[in-house]
Amino acid sequence: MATGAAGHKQDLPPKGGYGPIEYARRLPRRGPSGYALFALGIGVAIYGYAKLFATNRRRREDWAEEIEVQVSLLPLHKAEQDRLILRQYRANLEEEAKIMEGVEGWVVGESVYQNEKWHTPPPVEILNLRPHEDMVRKVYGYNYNI
Amino acid sequence: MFYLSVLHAFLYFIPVLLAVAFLTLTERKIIGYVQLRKGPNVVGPYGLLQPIADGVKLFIKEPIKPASSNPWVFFFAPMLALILAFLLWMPVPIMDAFIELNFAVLFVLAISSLSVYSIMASGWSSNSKYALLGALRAVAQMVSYEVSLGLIILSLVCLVGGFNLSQFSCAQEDTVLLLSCWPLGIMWFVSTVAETNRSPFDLTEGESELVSGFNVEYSGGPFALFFLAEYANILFMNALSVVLFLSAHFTLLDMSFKVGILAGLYVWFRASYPRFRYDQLMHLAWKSFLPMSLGLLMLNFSLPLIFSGVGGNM
Amino acid sequence: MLSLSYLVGIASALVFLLLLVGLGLPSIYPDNEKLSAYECGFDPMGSARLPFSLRFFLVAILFLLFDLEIALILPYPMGLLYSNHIFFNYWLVMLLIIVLTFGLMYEWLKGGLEWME
Repeated sequence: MATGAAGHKQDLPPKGGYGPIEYARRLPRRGPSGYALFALGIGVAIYGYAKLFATNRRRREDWAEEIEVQVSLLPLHKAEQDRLILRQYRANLEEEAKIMEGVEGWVVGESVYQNEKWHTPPPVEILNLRPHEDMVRKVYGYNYNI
Repeated sequence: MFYLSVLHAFLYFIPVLLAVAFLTLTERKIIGYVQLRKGPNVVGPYGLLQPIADGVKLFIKEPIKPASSNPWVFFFAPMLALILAFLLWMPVPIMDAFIELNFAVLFVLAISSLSVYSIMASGWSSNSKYALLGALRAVAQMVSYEVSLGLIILSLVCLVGGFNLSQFSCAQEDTVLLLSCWPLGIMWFVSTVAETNRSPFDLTEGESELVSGFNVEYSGGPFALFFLAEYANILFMNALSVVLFLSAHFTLLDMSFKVGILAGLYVWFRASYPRFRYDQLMHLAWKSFLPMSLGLLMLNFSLPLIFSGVGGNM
Repeated sequence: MLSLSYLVGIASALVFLLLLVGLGLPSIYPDNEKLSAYECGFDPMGSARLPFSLRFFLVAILFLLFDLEIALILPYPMGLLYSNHIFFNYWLVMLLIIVLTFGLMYEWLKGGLEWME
């Protein structure tokens, strides 16, 4: 039998034949299963809730402490407030005396009420001789920017 | 003093516009590289000046007022959109909020639901079929997702114990709220994407059916206003997501980093996902998010009471 | 610090300025084709005030319902801090949510949430 090209090699199966046919599906690794992921999610949520509630408890304690501080400072604040009001009241009286110098029968500081009871003058009255901004700030507090 | 305050306000608004401008550049760049091209790279180094060129182009193009439109409403709508977008930025606590509102969450909800009106006004006043249909779709979509946004934010408020946005940062000193409320977080993020009419949910500007949605008739300056408003809303929604779910502490760098990551996610969505079908969109809002957020609302109302974890005012 | 109403004014002024720039800077040459409503290059046919699907109306009604619910529940978290009847409030809110869930179920079963039949 005449051969063709010397080095010719026919395509033959490899020695020992082909391997078994791979018919099984080979899916890539899918990672953890759905249940595992679900459990992980629940676990993370539980951890988050625990931390959050711990933080919230601490925040509540801080808030209570803040309120207690405010309560215990209340007498001091009240006293300061009274002092400021009385000082302004005296300044008002002096101013009134200066203004009403020549008026006959004018009693400086006479109450318009019939009884002798002290009433704290409202801001409109006590700050009437001050600049207008003071009164606005007093009446509307620190919320004047809203 | 007053004039200084006005200047201060301007200096708060202008960076919003700048951020919007560079967000558009980022978006075009990222989408460009996702699609194996370079994106804008001619104007300035690496195309960095592209948004400025875009802005100049938009503002010197001829603004068309269609003959059949209702002129007052037609020009009022983009103004309203941008004004509302600016106002939304007011209570965001970037380090300190520009205005410290005790009920900032309510303010945000109120203003963001007002922005539906600008879309409705623009669609109606253009007196064009495409604009009207696009506006109808947009309004129905935004309105549907607003319900789930409201419910999600409500359960967060109940966990935190206050409507003040800076209280959210106090409550998240130890852990971010995303850990405990991750289902809410996922729903919130998807809802914000839908609320801002962004890409898998951009049914309003489905190019194949409606040319550009509610703003077909706009061109030049008014269109630029709509565009700015849309992107400012996107950035704001991301900032709000960071405040609500991810705020460990508000240093400026931390916050802007997180906002940038979320904005990058938005762009990534736009580059990757095909558009939803409209009925699927509605079903997602009403049949998945609404029952789910109602259930989680009940859970989040109950858990703080059971475990005495109601938030304080500090 | 400025009040919020001032800020509304400032934002409006800035936006108005932008709109004025956009309307005043470019040269405007309107013509008939430019000013007609866009309809794929054809002349617009008929009125643009189309009748629209009743579904949109239904969605609006549903939104109204659920937004109202949100508005009703909104004061509840503040009550957690300042009210003396926390558990009473809690059960009231739960009742509200459950009633609205039943409303949603009813709407669902009646097919009000189906976008296409």
